[in-house]
Amino acid sequence: MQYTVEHFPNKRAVIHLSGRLDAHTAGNLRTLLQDTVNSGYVFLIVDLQQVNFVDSSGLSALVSGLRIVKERSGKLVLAHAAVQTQVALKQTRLNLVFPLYDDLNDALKSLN
Amino acid sequence: MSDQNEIEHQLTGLRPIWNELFGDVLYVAYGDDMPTTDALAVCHEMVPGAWLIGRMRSTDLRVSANAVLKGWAVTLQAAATVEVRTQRLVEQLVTAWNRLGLMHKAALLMRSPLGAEQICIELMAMACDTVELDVAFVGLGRDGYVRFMWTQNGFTNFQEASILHALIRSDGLLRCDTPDQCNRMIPGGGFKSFIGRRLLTDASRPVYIGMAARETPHTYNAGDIQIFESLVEQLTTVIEIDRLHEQQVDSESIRRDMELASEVQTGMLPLTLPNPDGFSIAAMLKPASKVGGDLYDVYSGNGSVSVMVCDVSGKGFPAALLSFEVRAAIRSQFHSANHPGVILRNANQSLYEDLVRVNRFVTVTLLSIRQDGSSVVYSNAGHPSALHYRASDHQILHLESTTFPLGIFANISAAVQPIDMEAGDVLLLYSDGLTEVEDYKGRLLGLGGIGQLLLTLNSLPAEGILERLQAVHGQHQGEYAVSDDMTIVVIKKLPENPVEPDIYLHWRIEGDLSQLASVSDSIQHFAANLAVEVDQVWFEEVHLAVSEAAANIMKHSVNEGEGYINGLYALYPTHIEVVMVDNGRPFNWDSAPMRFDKDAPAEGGYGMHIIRDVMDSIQYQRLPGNFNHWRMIRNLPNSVRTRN
Repeated sequence: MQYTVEHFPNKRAVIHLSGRLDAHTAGNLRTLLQDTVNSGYVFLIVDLQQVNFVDSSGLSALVSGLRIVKERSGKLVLAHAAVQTQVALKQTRLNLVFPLYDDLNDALKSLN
Repeated sequence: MSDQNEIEHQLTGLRPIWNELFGDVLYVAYGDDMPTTDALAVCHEMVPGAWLIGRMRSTDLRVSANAVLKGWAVTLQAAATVEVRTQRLVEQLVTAWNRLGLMHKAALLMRSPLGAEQICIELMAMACDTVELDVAFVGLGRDGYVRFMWTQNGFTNFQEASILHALIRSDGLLRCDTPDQCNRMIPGGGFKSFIGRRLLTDASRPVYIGMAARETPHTYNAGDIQIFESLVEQLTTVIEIDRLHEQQVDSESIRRDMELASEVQTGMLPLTLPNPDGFSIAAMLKPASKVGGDLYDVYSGNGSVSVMVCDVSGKGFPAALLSFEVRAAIRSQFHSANHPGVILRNANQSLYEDLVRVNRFVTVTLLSIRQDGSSVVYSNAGHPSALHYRASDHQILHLESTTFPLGIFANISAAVQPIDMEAGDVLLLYSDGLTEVEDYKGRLLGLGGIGQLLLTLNSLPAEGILERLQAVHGQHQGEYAVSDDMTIVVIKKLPENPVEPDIYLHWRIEGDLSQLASVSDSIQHFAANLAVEVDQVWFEEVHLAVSEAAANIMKHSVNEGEGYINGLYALYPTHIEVVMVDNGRPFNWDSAPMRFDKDAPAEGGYGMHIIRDVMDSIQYQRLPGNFNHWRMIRNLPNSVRTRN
């Protein structure tokens, strides 16, 4: 898993992820989300465009990120979920938990 | 300046002659303007501060070297004022020229297609001419005898023996300038002068060379000695190259012999394997080198099919020779008996003395299947226990020894054990080359590893199981393999209505979460080879479930980095089946449905639920031998089923 973080005004950040979000990399993802929140960004967009596989551990890390931002009255939304990601979200019913966007600008606006 | 003018004046007469002879300009360098010399240039200090330089090319020379140089020497003598200096100059030039000429011709000779002996004697003849001696020889030693080759005939064995004796005694350069010295050093040789030595080649095959004058004594000057020494170098090179070549030819002929032996041994393996009713047999043998002590045999007769796997202690050629004898001894029994115990007991009796004499023993497993498939019995004479995969309860049973290896005791028991084979059961006979391989961390493939494979692969046809065992064996030991002989025989009792997978893919990875990506790779690879097209969502659901199952095993069962996980994807007409086997801790799974709270979703524990949702059936079994066995099935979408 690789990432870059793009910062925006109003405590907003876009986390661009690439590679696999699985049981092997979930720990790193958890830490990344925690660090981003700790540096003051609580409205997070996780951009999954370059992610080629997500499993339940990867989604669990996103759920933990969601809990952390919520504790600080923030939000966490997902963008660009591919078919595989959508399958994983649906299988875990977490599609009911994470708002999904196809467009980063729409996602940013939703967090304004 | 006056010195310079003086020298120039002296050289006036020499210049045109030089030009005529060598087609090149003679020039003089003065002061610090040192001449650069190359292999074909000669120069000499005429007077302090002045260098005479001339260039000679062997190809330019139309006359014999000696004649030219003598002419040059006379001219120089006339032209130069300091006679001593020119005298030395002439001598050095002659030597240098001769050495160059000799080396040039030697180089040409060594490139020629002539044999080493011929090249040596030609070189000797040339050197002989150059130094102005009458005769030269090369003596080649082999097996304690030295064969002399001369540039002229007429030398007796006695003369040769005397030379040899002198050269051996001198232990280096032997030089006799006068007839007296010659008579003292080489009595009866009849030489007026002699120079010779032993070359510094392999001591077991010494080489001697020498040159001699028979008519007029020859006083060797420093140049002659130099020529002789450079000759020694050249000849040593020629001989060493020749011996290297010989060694290559020798090892080539050993290689050919081994290949023939390998063909003979391979030719002893049965060409076709008989299949008793309801059984299927596959077998392979891979010797560590071209040949080895492993052998298998399958024989049909007396109402049964006998399968034999044996391993003669040791490796390579000696073991292979014995394995031929063992095969013959056992084969001869097949004609009269089909009782494995009796066959092994009798074979031991006939082989015992031979085996004791060469201090070897043979382990054998011999199995007899009634042609109608109704019963299977075996005897095992100290061979690694065969494995029996029992389909009814997924157990791996070990078929232990029933008696001692052949060649240990004069008489051994003829005990047999029955094997209760049911449909779907698999027997694996093998030699220890299969199990005793280590991976890069030193972990043995072992019986555990092989058992895991049988639990994963038993649904495949016998050939498929064999192929996978072989492949995993290769992967396990990786590229730094120390190979041993290896034999594998797979015997499968076919199910009543055999349904074998149309397409399958087996994988084996280390139980480490970093390997999860390769699980994804494997299922994608499997999907790419499916004859049916399934839609992406359906496939991604299976992909996710498979990955969750593997991750589960890695997280909860196998200590990270400790063991291997085996997986098999198999396509059947109505469904795909996924089998995963590991030898980690038992898995406790909570079959209660997951409670889902949209507002406070769980931060884990989704994996098993995904597998249950996606798969139409899941079986988990904890098996003896510390195996976890997962079998998951997903029905194909109706649109792509090839049968209902």
